[in-house]
Amino acid sequence: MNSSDDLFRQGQIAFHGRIIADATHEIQNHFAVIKEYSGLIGDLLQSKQRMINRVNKRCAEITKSINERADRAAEMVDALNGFSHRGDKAVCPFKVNETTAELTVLLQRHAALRRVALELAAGTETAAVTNDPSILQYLLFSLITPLLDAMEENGSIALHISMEKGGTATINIVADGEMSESPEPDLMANETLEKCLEKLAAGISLNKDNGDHIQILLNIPSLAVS
Amino acid sequence: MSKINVLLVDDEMEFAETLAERLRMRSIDVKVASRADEALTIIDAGLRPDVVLLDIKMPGIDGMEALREIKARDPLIEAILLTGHGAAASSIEGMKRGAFDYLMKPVDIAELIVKIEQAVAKKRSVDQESGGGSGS
Repeated sequence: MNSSDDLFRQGQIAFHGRIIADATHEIQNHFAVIKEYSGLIGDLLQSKQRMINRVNKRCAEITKSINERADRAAEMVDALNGFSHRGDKAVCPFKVNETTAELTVLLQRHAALRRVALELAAGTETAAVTNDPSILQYLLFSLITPLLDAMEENGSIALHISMEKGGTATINIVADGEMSESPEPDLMANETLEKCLEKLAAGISLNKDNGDHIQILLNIPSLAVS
Repeated sequence: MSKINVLLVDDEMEFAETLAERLRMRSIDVKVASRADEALTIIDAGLRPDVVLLDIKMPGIDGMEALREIKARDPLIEAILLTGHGAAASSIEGMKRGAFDYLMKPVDIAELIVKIEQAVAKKRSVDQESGGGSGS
């Protein structure tokens, strides 16, 4: 491997570390809430108060919240498990939707800390290609995190996916909201991005409108399996 | 010992509100803030909690910066940092900057109560030595 490949590989490993650290932190948050609710049920049941109806009502609310938290933690664990398997094979057939949705779930904590909405847009088409899903996630991460870091609170980033004729998938990343700074590193002049695009044989185009609306269009083709 | 006053600062509101409810069931007065700037506003408005329970990772002003601001306003207020593994190093740094202690999330309520009581005992003893009075 030449030094450029080494740097790319180090960056990719750092990307995995960052995703896993953020996701496990968020899972810990869900379990912290579940633990407090569970403890509160115990406290309520042990309390010698006569207001049984109040205790029952509160326990019903708590049970609902525990279920919601368990569902969110399960969704995150599911996405993390999928993410950990994306590097199993370099080039393989995969659904772009699932791969993108996985990363979107795992970046929710980062988005929440920035108070920016990050979502896979509704009505998105199912798109499947033969390519490298791990590199695609790395590419999306490298594009989305500078946007998240540059956006002011209450901004939004939506990802739209569609399938073109000829087996190429398109991912349209639309960022709306005030930017506190120009997204750094520059979205279009970054060695990691160039390397990802090269490995995926992908195309990219960028449109900026006054800095408040940024649109990045990715074309992800199917590669021949060697 | 007069009633303990705690200010709980955490952006995970369900966690904060539930923990606050459990502390109140143990006769501790708790105010909750979802952001560090909200906590500083509460202190600036005159509340002098015995202890601040402070999440390290929050949007906007983080826990470490909030600790510095709180100590600048009133060095007698004790702070217990709430943290995950990723911020353990920051928590140790926080203790060097005057935090009483730190606890890993999810917290054990019994352990938290012990830490709060220890922090309050320290705060009130220093307060008495300096001839001041505690309370909000």
